[in-house]
Amino acid sequence: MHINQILNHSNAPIAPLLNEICHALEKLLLYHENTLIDLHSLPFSPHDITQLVEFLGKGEVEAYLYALGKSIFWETNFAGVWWIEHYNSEESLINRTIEIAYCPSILQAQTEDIQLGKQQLQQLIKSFQ
Amino acid sequence: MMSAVDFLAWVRGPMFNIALIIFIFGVIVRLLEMLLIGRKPDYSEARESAFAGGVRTIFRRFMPADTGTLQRSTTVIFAGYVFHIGFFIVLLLFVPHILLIKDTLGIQWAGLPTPIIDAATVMTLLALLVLLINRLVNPILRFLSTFQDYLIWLLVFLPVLTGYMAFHHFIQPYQLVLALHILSVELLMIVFPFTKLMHTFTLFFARWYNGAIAGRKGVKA
Amino acid sequence: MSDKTIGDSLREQGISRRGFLKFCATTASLLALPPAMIPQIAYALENTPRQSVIWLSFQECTGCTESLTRSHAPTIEGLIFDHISLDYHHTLQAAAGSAAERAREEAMKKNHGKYLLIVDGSIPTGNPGYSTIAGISNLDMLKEVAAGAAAIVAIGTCAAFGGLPKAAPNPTGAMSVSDLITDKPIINVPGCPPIPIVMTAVIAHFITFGKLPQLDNLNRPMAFYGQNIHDRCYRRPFYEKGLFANTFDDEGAKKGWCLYKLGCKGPTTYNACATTKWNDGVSFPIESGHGCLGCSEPQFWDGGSFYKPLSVPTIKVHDVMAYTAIAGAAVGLTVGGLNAMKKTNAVKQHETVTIDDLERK
Ligand code: SF4
Repeated sequence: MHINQILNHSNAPIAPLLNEICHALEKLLLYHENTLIDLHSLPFSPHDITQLVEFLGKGEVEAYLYALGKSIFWETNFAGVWWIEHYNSEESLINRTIEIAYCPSILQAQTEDIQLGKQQLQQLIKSFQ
Repeated sequence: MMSAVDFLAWVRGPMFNIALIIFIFGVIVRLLEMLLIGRKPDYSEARESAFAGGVRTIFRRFMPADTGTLQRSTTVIFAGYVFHIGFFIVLLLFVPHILLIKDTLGIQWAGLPTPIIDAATVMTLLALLVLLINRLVNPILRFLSTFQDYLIWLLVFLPVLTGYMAFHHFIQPYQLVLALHILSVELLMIVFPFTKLMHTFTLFFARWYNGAIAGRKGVKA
Repeated sequence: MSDKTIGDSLREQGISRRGFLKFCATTASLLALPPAMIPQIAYALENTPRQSVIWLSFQECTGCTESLTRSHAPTIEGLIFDHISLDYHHTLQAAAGSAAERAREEAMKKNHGKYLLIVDGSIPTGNPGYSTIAGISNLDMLKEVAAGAAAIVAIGTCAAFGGLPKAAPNPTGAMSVSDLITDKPIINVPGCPPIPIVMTAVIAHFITFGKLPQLDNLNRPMAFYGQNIHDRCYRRPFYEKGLFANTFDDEGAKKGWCLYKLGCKGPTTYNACATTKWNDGVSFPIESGHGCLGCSEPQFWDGGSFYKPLSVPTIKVHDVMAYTAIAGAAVGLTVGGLNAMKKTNAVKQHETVTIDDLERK
């Protein structure tokens, strides 16, 4: 759908949101700073959300995280703008955000986990020798 | 200290009652008092209908009398019109106000979208400010002005101002500013019957009398 | 207080760091904290011992407890709930009678000055016999437990503002927690019932930062009660356009227009319903077609009809108007009559002055 159509048919503050995303992209380019926009705190009806999803579209990347229930990530048609949905183990939505980042921060491996993994691997290698 | 919620409950309840009683009682007593004085019977033969003359004058006086007056008092006339029209738009066409009228009098009509009301409010406020400044700047007007003139200016200004502030949530919590708005209207209601504000009603009688007397004499006033 | 940290018990349940971060991110979002605080929340929750909580229920309907426990575990709110040490809650605990009371006394002694006290229900101050637990009046128990609490969370409108029991004519002399306890930090989480996640978020905040979150003038957490329902309502654009539902089943209602005319109290209500929503984010009253009752505000029971618009007086004005009009007419007629009499008298007493009279002088 064309953006004008969406803006005309929707009561939600879609235009300001798009502006915010735009500023966040600038920040990302200039300072390598990520931005998280919490969609739960904005007055969007389910219909508005569908329209927003439709407008932002789906890009090349889609990822799943399975921790405390599923989480879905996809890059929108706009590179660096990620759509994120967290579900709990009952499969109900608990949080919906847009992250402006090179890669969503939660997808990156955590340092502690890497350390742990390295130790485990070293032990494994030792056990071979 | 009274909380904003208590304050709102008070102005929506007991205080509204008090204001309503004073307003209705005062207006009826004063109108009856004035009307019952009556007029001396006119024994002369009527040249034309007094009724037609009365009605004509009620409406004709809505227009500035002549170009001379218009030129002399442009500000008062112009700002006066903006104020009165704006005030009535805001008072009678804002949906929450209509609901109040419906609840008290049982009649209702369609309202206007809030952006229009908002614009009318701003215009009303500006017009009121212009009128006040004019009153202070113009030496004749200032000389003629009494305490009451400034008092009722303030009491008319406050409901419009607080209404605007309530709508835009200028004061938090909202209950407080809404309560202030209602209270300011109640103050207006209370002083209404005893001040020049009575012109809301008396203007029609005064014009009617003038028009009817002139009409009977065949004068096109 | 057991010395296990929340992090420990999460890990025991096989919850990974990413999962934990997901949980922290959701908590931050709930608390309206900037995403930059997520690491801080993660650190605190990872390292803090389980918080001891004592829960007292007074004049209440158990609706608040229902609301909180109905959130399906293990949701985010369930997580926090699972990882506090709820040392006393007379509806939920297995122990009964003196064993229960002993548990309470033990927890109070062991964690004196550190436990969190949660209260639901209002406190009767009339006859103490109106509500007692183990023979102890609500007032006495509140005072006793409050004395050793680090902070008090008043859950639900009854505990926060008096609620239904306090509604006129308030037969039990019901009072809120903050009416009675003045020397402890109190946080009000009103609502009838409150949104489950609000309570857990408040606890999370308390655990993370060791203090209560920022509060509004009624001691409610700003993150949830800082915004007006009306300001966050998705029906607001219809309010602005002047499009209202006039009944619950007319065209306007079907089209989802504003519910102001049907008595919606959204404009005077501060709560998170419009954004956090209910039943795992399914909807909230206004989305289901019913106006807001204003249940998170003091005296919402006494604020006039739920179905009358906010701009309408809370009293019945018709009788008042009729009687005043009659009285006004009576007085007006009397005054008019007196004036007429005065006039007639004046006319009667009027003596015609002749030329002679004038010349006589
Ligand atoms: S439904 Fe209620 S909260 Fe929503 S816009 Fe209308 S009055 Fe405001």
